[in-house]
Amino acid sequence: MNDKIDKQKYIFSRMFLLANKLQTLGDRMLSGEMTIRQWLLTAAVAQYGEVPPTLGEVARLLGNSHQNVKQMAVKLQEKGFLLLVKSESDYRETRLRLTKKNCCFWEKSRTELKSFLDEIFCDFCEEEMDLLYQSFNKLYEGIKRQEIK
Amino acid sequence: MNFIDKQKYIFGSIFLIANRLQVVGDQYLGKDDMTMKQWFLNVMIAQFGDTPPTLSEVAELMGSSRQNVKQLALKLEEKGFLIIRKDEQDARALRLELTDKSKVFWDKRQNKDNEYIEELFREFSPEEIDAVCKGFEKLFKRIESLEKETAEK
Repeated sequence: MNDKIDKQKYIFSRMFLLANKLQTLGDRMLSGEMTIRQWLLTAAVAQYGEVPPTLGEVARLLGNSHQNVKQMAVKLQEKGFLLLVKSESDYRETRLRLTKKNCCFWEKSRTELKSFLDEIFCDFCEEEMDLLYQSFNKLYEGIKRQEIK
Repeated sequence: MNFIDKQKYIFGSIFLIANRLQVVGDQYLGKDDMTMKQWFLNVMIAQFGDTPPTLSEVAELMGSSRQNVKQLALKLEEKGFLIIRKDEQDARALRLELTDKSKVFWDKRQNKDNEYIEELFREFSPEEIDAVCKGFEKLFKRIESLEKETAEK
């Protein structure tokens, strides 16, 4: 693999492959209460802090369809991790609010999650992580450029 | 951001970036009635070179279920991009073979697709591209060994 374009294509296709594989591995290694996809959804909601985000906002952040996120949110509501609430300003809007149970779950699984991530990234030094972090931010920018088009 | 936060960020971003690449990619390929998932299957089969791989081999490489891969393969077969063939030695095994039509389709659009990808990586220095390639290679190897460990348990 010498050409720049070949390397870019490699990164592009590996992104999908790694997402698939990490999902399977994560679902197997983390103790069953939440799947990796559900975990990502709650992490995305938590990013918004005090103000519960709308379904649409979370869907955009995750790059999932509205429908898809709603299905996952309903499942998480059944498990008691979050609530789907009607927006006060606009009744057509649904907002996602995390529950106390979700906070407790995260407190409890912090160590488990940490050792899972440590296992996955054990071969990486700090500098390599920094480079990946920077590069991913650039890739987000690239995706935004294509989204606007 | 501390080390554990960076791990989380990178881990979560792999899913987010894959999702969002799928959305923008589907918009781009949709004009020619193609999807990112079908493209991805095509790339994965092509990895096996001249010998058409079995359905199970492709599913394992992709980290998807056999059922999912079969559904995708059937769609590509309908379009004439792929042939699903019974293995000569093992009648239960199915092999996936890309057709000339598929090769022509992707060859013809190669320049356009390359430009699309170049645009995604526009801000990257050659060093950064190398770093991500190496990082992904490392991550992939690590995942494979963890897969083996957890399968043995």
